[in-house]
Amino acid sequence: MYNFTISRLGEYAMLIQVAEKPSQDLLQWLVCKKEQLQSLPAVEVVFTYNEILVKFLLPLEGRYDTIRASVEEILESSIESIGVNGVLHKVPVCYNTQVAPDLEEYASQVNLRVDQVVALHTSPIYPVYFIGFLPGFPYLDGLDSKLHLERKATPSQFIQPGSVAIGGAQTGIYPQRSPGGWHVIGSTPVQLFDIKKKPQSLFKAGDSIKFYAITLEEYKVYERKNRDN
Amino acid sequence: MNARIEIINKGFFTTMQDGGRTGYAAIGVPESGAMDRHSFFQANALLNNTKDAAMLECTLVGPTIKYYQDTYFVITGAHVKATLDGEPVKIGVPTLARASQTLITSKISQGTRCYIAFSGGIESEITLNSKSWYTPITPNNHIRNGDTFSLGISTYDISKGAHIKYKYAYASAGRVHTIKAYKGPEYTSLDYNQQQLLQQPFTVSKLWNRMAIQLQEPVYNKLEGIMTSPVIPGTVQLTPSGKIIVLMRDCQTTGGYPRILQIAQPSIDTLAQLQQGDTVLLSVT
Repeated sequence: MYNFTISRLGEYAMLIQVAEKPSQDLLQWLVCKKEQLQSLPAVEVVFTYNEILVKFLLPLEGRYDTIRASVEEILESSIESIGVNGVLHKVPVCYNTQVAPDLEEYASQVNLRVDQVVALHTSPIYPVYFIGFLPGFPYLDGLDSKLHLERKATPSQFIQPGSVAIGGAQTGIYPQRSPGGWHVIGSTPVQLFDIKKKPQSLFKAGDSIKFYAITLEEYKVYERKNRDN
Repeated sequence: MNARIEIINKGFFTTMQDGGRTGYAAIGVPESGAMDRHSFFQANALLNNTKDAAMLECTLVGPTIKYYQDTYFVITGAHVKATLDGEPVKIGVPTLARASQTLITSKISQGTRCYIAFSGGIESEITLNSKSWYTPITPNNHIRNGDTFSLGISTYDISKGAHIKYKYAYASAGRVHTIKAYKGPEYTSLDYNQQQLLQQPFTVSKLWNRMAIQLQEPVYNKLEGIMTSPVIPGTVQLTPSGKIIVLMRDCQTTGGYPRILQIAQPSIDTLAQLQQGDTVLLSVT
């Protein structure tokens, strides 16, 4: 049980804010509460590090107090300790300047050699907190503090799909081509979001990711296989 | 056989939209859907269509459309000069286009977006629960010359559409548009002077599209970024450089800038009809 506040976000949505730092326990609670809140006549429930947004089909005007009471009841109930049913994804990453335009500049800015960057980046198991920003973009936790680096002052116009990047204390993967302010330190040939697949997003909240380094040759073989499929 | 239409000229930026895409925000997919929902719903009501039936949303310059079967259609939203085989078409009035007739719409005035709806709605592919176009979820985000679309079964002949008198809600340029806003989650982090500054008139900057509208006048900002948190259409963000960004229908699902305001739904529709140089006054309640 966490302390929370509930407020309205516009006419159709309710925002739950938890005064708590992200943690595995909080993530488990969020995943569980999301499930339970979906029993309400809501359109959808999404959460981030420490907030839950409940979107309704009809305006809350005139029934806010009733719905708020149901939401409070759900949030105050104990959670089933079934655990988060997450998948561990082993994700190949090519840390080579040919596919990672910012790698050398980044390494010099954090005062590390490239091989040290790779070792530190591939070492943790990163929990996936939630998906946001772009379809299939995973928000990860647990980046080594030696790898933290402020975002670029001027964002890049185009970051290629599959780019593995670092922005501030966060690391993530761009599923689609997009502008972005993060430093690209590697690239994965794995497709993160495919509209024709079910589920469409490779990752979901509660999963975890372990990166492993591949060579440029292995990366190209993988890409060729993707194309042939 | 279903009726069919062909796009002869795509106009400036014409896109297919329905009531929006729900259920996929948790994997980062935006809501999308018609920018001006009021005009969108009115068009469907006038044609006796289902509430969320897909139609064309046209920005700045409308398209030219050829009809292959007799079809009722209606235009709502901003004003647009429209002719059917040379005859003027009235905005907000369902009109019968005969097979092989051509609808030409041109420059949009008194607003930014108009809607062209067809009886039966457009039958395009459903992607993640919606017909709204949004790349990379759908192959394209706007229609092209030569695109053809089939229409659903019309029920307009059986029972006429809603007897609503179409009322145009957006006046011409030069007017100050009052935008109703609620306090956002980070509003209380603003100091008194910042809250006062929000009461000045703001100008729509050159950055305005289906994702967001950026306002011209900066509001100094010393607030720190927030941990990435949920955002929805109508959320107003304040960037570190003091820019005010109003998120619109194609906005991303999460964001890291302080959410200072949340625009009321009817005012999101008003914002959807504005463009560079238009003036807004934020009325915070």
